[in-house]
Amino acid sequence: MTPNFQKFQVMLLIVFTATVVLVFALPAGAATIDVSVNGNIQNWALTPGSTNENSTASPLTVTTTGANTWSVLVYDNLDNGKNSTSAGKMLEYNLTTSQYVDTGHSLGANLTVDGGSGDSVVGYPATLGPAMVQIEGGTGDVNNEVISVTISQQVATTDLHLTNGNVYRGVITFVGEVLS
Amino acid sequence: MKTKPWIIAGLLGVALALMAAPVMAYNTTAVTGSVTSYVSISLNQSSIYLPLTAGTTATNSSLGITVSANSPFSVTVADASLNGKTTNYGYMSNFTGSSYDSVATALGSPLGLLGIDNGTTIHQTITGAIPTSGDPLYTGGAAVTNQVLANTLSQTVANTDLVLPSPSVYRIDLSFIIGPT
Repeated sequence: MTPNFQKFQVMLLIVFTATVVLVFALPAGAATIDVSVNGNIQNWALTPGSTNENSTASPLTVTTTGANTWSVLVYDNLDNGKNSTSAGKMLEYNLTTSQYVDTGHSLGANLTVDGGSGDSVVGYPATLGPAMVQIEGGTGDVNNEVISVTISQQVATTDLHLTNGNVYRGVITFVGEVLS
Repeated sequence: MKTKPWIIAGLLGVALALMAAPVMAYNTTAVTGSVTSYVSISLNQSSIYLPLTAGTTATNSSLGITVSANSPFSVTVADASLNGKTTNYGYMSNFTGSSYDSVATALGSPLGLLGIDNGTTIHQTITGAIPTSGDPLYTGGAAVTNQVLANTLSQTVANTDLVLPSPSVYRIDLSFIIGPT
């Protein structure tokens, strides 16, 4: 065989393999998931000595296409410069500057997120933290599946009542994940 | 031609990775809130016996007040004006066994109460008779948990103060109130 013929063989092999890649990979790329939540929780009055519950973020709405299995996970992405030691916890936040107080107070307990269950959906409770934790799971496609979500915050009597106008804040990131 | 297997393996690897890679979507909910005020107060005893001797000042330092607060706070003390007491507020008065005597005999000097500083909690000096509206006893500059505050009660007894017939005694009911500041 001449060197040119060998090059031709390699090229042919690459084209063939690339075709195989596209044929098998494209259906996976076609799978989609959309996750939306109702809204933010604002001015939440947190009572010491109790577990405070809030369903303002509810409902969680999920739509998938081309899904074999799908899940919704939550984690603290440390948005807006939130420090890592407060991951999963509500941290003191200055509403005037719209910034976290880096050396500020945080609540002792982590936020928890409890996903509701339905006919085709299984919910799980999750403690918010830096790593993704599953709160919902399902099999097959869903279209605007409405799921209840309860966010809870345990507050101890030792958690400080802020008197400087600041508030406690955290951001929950919901992640929709679909496997085709 | 040893490169061929590697090229094929690489492309197949990419294919497998693409097939297995999950599709992801993100959304967020911001949570903001405020912890409401919390205060608690308790006393280590519900009554104190104070032996009174004419011409002396009786004292008792056994009263402990335990406080908790999640922000700066204040403690006030007031004459509770319970059991039918209608006058002589801040003074130990004639208590007949079930209620204060309407004749309203009382000691000549008001009851004294002195707190002691503990950390960021500072005592306030009470001058004169403790009113029903309350006098500041402590100012708490910061949050505390189960902080014990020691107090001294004092009662000056003059030789002119009357001896009460049994079963009457001199008595005063005090209220201790804590609140956020």
